[in-house]
Amino acid sequence: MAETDVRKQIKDYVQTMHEQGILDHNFENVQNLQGEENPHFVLDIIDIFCRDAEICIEDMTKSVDEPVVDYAKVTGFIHLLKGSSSSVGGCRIVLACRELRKATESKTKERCVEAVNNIKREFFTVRDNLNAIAKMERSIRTDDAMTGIF
Amino acid sequence: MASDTDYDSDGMRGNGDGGLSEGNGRRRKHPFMTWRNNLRALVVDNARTCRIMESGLLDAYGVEVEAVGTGEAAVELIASGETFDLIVLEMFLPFMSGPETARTIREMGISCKILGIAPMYCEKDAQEFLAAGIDEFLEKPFTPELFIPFLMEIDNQK
Repeated sequence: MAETDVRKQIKDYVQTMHEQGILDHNFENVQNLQGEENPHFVLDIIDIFCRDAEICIEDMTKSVDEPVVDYAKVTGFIHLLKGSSSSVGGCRIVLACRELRKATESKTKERCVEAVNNIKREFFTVRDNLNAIAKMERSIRTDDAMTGIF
Repeated sequence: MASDTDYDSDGMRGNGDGGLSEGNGRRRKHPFMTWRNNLRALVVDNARTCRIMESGLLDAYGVEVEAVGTGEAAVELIASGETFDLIVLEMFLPFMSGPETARTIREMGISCKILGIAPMYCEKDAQEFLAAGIDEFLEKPFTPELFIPFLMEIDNQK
């Protein structure tokens, strides 16, 4: 498929994610940073964000599952995840992080566990959609490589 | 896939030390904005995605950027003689916090603009960070709409 067609597909897909509230306009900053000097930026950031977010959520889960929850530690993970998510436009993860922050302030373990589960759900949604964009980006890279061969 | 030469290789888990300066100091060929003066910025953020986005955006807008993941690395870089027009400093750094880093930098006699950033706004945190010596407290994400006015101010004052 021609690059212009895939670019249109990506644009339409991102627009749909905006309309569904899965990504906000900050994802445009990620896209705007891709260019001649950084041709793989979108792919790279999606990869880095998803890997780091998974680790953070894993650590968060372990912390809230402890018999005695270290709420300060959980708050540290919230800061990391909220900051990263907001940078790539993951607004629903941001909202879910706010809920967990409130849960840590109430120092209620059950609320924290529920809030972490909600973060996971929102992350999986964002991750799946970002991976769909990554797949489209990768198809452009593959086409470029094939053009180079022939 | 990101290569280590393009981005740092440390993950969020672990020592979070971010190592020494990771910035490459390179200048983008076709920045979105140009300035009368050469502008240099130091980004201090332990969250890898944030650090890459903050550095990337400043670079895209014509600023030469160095980026580190800890307050200790920032202080070490400045102590080595590196000078910056702008420091973007995360509040919740591991070990040496954002406020401690700001205080140390100011005690070193550094008077450049320091923008404190944090994942969520809290009045108490803002007051603490401002008292430590930052010039402004901003909630993430760090976007062009937020930083361009500061760059213009810095460029006009140089």
